Amino acid sequence: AGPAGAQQTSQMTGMQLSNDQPIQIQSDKLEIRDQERKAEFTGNVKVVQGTTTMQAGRMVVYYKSGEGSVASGNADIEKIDVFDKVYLRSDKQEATGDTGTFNMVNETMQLKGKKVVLSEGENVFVGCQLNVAMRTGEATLDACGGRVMIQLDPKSRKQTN
Amino acid sequence: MLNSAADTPTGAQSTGNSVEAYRLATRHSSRVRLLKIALPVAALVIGAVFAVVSIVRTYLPSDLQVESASIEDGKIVMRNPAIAGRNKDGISYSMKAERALQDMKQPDVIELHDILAKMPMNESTVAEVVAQNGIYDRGRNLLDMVAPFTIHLNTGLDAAFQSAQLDINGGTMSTDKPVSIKSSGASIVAQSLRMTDKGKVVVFEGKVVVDVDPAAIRNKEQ
Repeated sequence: AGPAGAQQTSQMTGMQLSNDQPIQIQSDKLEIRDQERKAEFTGNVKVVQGTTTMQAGRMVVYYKSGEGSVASGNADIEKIDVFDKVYLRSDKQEATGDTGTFNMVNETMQLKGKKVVLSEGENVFVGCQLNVAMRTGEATLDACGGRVMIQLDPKSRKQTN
Repeated sequence: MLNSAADTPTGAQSTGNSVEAYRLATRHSSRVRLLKIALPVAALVIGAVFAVVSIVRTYLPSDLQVESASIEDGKIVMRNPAIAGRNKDGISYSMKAERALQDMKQPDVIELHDILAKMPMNESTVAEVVAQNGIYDRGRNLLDMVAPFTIHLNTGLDAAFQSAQLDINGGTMSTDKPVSIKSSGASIVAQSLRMTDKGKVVVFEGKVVVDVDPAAIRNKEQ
């Protein structure tokens, strides 16, 4: 589970997708490749649901192979990769990275990059990989050997005590 | 990282506590289901698009029957022409029109008016195409849908086109005019659509917007 380097564990509050709000995906282009069971959104990709937004340059959605035929729409999504500057925002937190992967099978999300920045209000955490367990909401920011840089905003500490 | 900050002797006990308190504060429990719901539902929409598009795969007219024909100012006017045939998978399809006009000088090109086509795509899905008119070139097996037309699937999917050019042998369909595809749970709109390789590759381009309605999620999960 990655080098034992410094890890900042925190809860990703607010980055939630409720299933009673419509979702909208926008992009300049959408290419669906039936044979390879994948759909690729390219160009200003933006996924919005309620207060949660994700933006990226490119998003590729992979479908499970095997039975569910994509044509009849019951093929499940296996994985989603996002590239070219990934930006996630919810009403409380923001995260940015170079690339991201959502593994729908084990419901984990990873954001990677030279500098992965997770910020909540004025507090900023910088590492190189953010792992989120989508079911429990636990997010771990990894420094991959280096040091997790944390900039705590003194004001925010006053609110906590 | 933070823990070490707490352990280092920072003199005043209170500083240690506030760092501790802060660290606990950041760990208050909450749930993230980031995009867990959003993107799986996109499958519903994209799947629906495949359904519409695979119509072209089955649309290989082979012969043309006509109920009655007359000649009016140099054109053969056929009443209720019907094209029928089977595709390579043996699935039969039919296309009829109110009228078809064939210019004597260009026998291969047939103008079709008020077209209704029914194309079973697989055992359960039937596609119905309704179009005002189209120009069918029997020689090169091209169909130019010059006016708006719709494709409806009994799976509850509706696609609306302003126009489209179909190369039936080549298995391609393209339109540079806006297209909209709606199914019960979702919809896609775009400024243009290009479909090649008999539906294996579909490209929407220009202001692509995919809307997914949560109801589609719920019944997908039950």
